[in-house]
Amino acid sequence: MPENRAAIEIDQVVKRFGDGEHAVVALDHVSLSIRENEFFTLLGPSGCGKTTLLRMIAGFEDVSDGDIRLYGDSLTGKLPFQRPVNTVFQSYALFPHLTVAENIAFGLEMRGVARNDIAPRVESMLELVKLTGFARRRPHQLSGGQQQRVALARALAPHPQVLLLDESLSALDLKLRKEMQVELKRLQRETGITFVFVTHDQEEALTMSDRIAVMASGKLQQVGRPEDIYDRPANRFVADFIGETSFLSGLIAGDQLLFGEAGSLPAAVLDSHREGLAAVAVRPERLQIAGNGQGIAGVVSEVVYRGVDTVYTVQLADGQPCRVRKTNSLGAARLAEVGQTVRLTAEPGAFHLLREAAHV
Amino acid sequence: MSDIRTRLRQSMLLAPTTLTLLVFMLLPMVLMAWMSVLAPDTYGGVRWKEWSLDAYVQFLYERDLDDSLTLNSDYLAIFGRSFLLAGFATVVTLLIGFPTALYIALKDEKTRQRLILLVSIPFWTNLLVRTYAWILLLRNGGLIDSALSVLGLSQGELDVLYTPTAVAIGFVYSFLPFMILPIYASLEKLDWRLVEAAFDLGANRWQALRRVILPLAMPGIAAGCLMVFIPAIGSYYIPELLGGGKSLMIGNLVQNQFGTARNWPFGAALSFMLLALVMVSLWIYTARFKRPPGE
Repeated sequence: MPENRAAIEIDQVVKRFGDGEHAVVALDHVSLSIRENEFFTLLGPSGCGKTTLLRMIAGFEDVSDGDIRLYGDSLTGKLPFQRPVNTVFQSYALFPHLTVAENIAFGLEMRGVARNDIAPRVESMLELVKLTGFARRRPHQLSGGQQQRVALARALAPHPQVLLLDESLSALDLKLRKEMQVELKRLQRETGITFVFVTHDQEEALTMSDRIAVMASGKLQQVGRPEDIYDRPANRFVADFIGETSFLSGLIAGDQLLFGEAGSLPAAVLDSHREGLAAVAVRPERLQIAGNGQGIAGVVSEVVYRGVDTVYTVQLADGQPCRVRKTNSLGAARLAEVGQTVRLTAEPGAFHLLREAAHV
Repeated sequence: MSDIRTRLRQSMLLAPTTLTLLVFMLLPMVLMAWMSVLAPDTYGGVRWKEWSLDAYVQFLYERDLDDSLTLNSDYLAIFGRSFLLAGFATVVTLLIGFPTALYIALKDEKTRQRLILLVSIPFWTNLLVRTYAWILLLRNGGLIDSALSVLGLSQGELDVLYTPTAVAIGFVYSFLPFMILPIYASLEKLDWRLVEAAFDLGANRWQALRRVILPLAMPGIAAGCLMVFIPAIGSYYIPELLGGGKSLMIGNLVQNQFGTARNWPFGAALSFMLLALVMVSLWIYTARFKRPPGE
């Protein structure tokens, strides 16, 4: 990913709903830079402020404090129709009284595109979203996935500088959602438009994004590439929200990471070093179930077979629960049964040392 | 067996509705249709055994003493005036009613309920009484006249009462809620996210109104127009009281035929022609708005 110039700069943005003491802070001094031609995702649980931020870029919410700039120009005070950005709404918001073609042409007409140029543009948009032949249909005659495509075509038709997508895939069923994820990525590549995507689905974010901003309770938690976020979560929230994680408390002493009665692992399993009590996070797939002798000891308390993999929950000897995931190969037997005592080992760097001190 | 029983059950359940429609709808209509093709009796009523199409002929022609027919446009003029006044009332109530309904629909829930209550307050008083009140307001030396003379805009000679203008004012006043309420009903259901989408795609306020809000509010607008136009074109006492009987409308004409003119068949024929006019408007409505957009 080349380091492109910034398309959108979000500068110390604050959003307050209500006045005075009763004001609710939806966004708390958020600063972000979204690069040109980037697939950027705002990820977080509902109520984290991600949709509010998107609506502020679109112009549907005012900025209480701070500034949002599009290619250097402040958007403050500009009404939605004065901003060269388009939105794909969660509900699609297709105009029910217009045909598919008229829906797609709407933005072009509003932006004053010459009449003769509209029809070919609409046709090429239909082709882009693979809906050729659907021009005369009405939105209610289309399936959810098709409506989604029309909403995309409509928002892309005026060639916005930035496309905003608000939980756009959440109304689709799983299979269709997977298809659309690939489709969205393709559209972004082909059009070269900067996409800002809002979702609460971490898997969706990891699959599609060039970079992800994780948000929680109005604050930015971490910004980075999917790999950064998954492998080096900035804090406990990010580690917990993205993927599966076991949180453990240990004591780092010299070249050993001690887990009380469970035993110890070499300190090299940590991705950074610090002496003393430490909170660590480890992904279930980064742990191995080993034979006797080495590693930390525990008793298997649960085994869940999930087709592609099997998840073992191990109660460590010092009382902390920890999960291990193993991909299933054809005909392979289970590595352990409930009640069995096992030992766990890890590759160097598998454990992520969290910034906070040890937790209880 | 059971099939017959189900059918019997169904007809029993439908009986009250069927009976109501038969007695209060169909029977009077048949009676009127029948009367319209009979000859009038000298002192009102009809001669039940004497068929005649004179009533319909009379609408367009005048029968001279020598039985020759000459074209008479008097009644057509009354129909035309009724049509114009009702049409005018529809247009004006629409021009006032749509922005009002839009304004109400954009308020928060609590304010909306209060404003709708205000719109419906006039229904709490009898329309006849309210029409009389307009006489007091509009007459020379009345409230409006006095107010204008205080401001130096009139010398006690407003001369509005007993003119078509007064009738039009009466119509607009009386039928405005019937325009506001259906339009409000359709605007209240409107998905405002669509308006947001229009703004997002570059539509300014006017374009969003014209291209999104108006088309989606069309079923409400059409219903409002019908609910104003139909009662206005057939109205009787607003032209009678505010028009002073000088600017006759269809309603007054019909009343005259059953009253002083003692020509019941002609009155019945006139009502049927009014009915035809209304049916045509309804037909246009259903043809255009049978399926509201978005269904």
